[in-house]
Amino acid sequence: MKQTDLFDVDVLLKDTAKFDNAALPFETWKAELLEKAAQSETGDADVFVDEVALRRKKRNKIVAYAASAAAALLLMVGVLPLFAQKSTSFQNSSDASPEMLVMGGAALPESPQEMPGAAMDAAPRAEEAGDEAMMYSASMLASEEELAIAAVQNALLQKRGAADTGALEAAETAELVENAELTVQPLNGDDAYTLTLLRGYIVSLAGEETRYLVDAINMDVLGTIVE
Amino acid sequence: MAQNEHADSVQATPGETTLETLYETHAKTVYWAAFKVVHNREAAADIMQNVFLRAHKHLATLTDMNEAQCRAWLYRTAVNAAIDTIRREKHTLPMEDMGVLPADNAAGPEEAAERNELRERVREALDTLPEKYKEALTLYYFAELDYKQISALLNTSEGTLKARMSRGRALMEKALRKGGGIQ
Repeated sequence: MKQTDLFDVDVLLKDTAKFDNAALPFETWKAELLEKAAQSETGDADVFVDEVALRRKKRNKIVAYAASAAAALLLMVGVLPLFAQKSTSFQNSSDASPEMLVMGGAALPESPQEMPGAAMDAAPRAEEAGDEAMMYSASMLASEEELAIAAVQNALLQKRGAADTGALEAAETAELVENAELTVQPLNGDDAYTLTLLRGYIVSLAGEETRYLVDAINMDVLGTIVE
Repeated sequence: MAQNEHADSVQATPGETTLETLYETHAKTVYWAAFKVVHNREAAADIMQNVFLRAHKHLATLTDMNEAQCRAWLYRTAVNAAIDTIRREKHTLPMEDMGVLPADNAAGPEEAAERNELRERVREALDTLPEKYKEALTLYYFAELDYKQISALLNTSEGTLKARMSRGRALMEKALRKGGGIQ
């Protein structure tokens, strides 16, 4: 940069921008992006079923913990008489290991082994692995709210054309609704209709009173909400 | 500016749009759109990745758009995502961070240091501008868009855009002189 260039803001900006752009690893970022995109193709389903899966996992955990507690109680009740009585079936089972004898079928009057103890022990670890996988996909991909907002922006861009992007201001909100009965006016001008949506997002754009309804299952913009 | 001259030739025609072509055409626009909001290199890079991953999800729709519409979608999505990031991480996100930039080895250490200092003042002066001037100058110099592309993106005439840029440069010169960037 020559000394005289110091007085030319155009030259200063060009030099700074050129330097900054050269310093940014766009090619590395591209490789990372393409890799993530390939991964996301298999991870998309996880994102969309996250909430359902989470509820199911919580319910399963509660059931598993309750079953574990019941199994422990039954073992305490069942094993003590077992050693006291020295069941003949145990004595005849000379090939069985001590663990198998304790957990073995016919010997226990209360049959605590029917509670799948080993499987339940392993279950929390599997659950934790599942949680990690879900957190990974969730952090890697956009949130549902962001997707709902983007879906509305996308639909409006298509409807209005790029010339009207000024209407799409920065501040938007997406509100989750479940089992909501709403009347919707489709964006294509079809007749309004009323539906009960299991799960969706009401998206509001800044500067607009109109609210848009997005189906959370497939992120389809169903239309504007008729008040 | 290479991209200013060749951006249209890089444009994929409908049916040829892929994530890679979208990235190659719009990466700088998306990055600088995010950076001008978050002022943090790593955060801007993360936002850029998320924006393109979102674009990947909507690729079928984006394929039907022309280049200007695609750019508008990506730009607006990047700005929104950046604002969301600021909202979520305002207490933890370090501001005014260009990250670790490579040293300018084209000159001696002393001259390189002077150049880097001057560049930092240019960045600071740009950041002090009102949004409409900063946005125009950032898109032209850093995102390397031409007047036609920027005016379509900002929904304004080329005349208005040129006036904004001229005014923005004048304000920057004033800020740089005041701040000691230009003696």
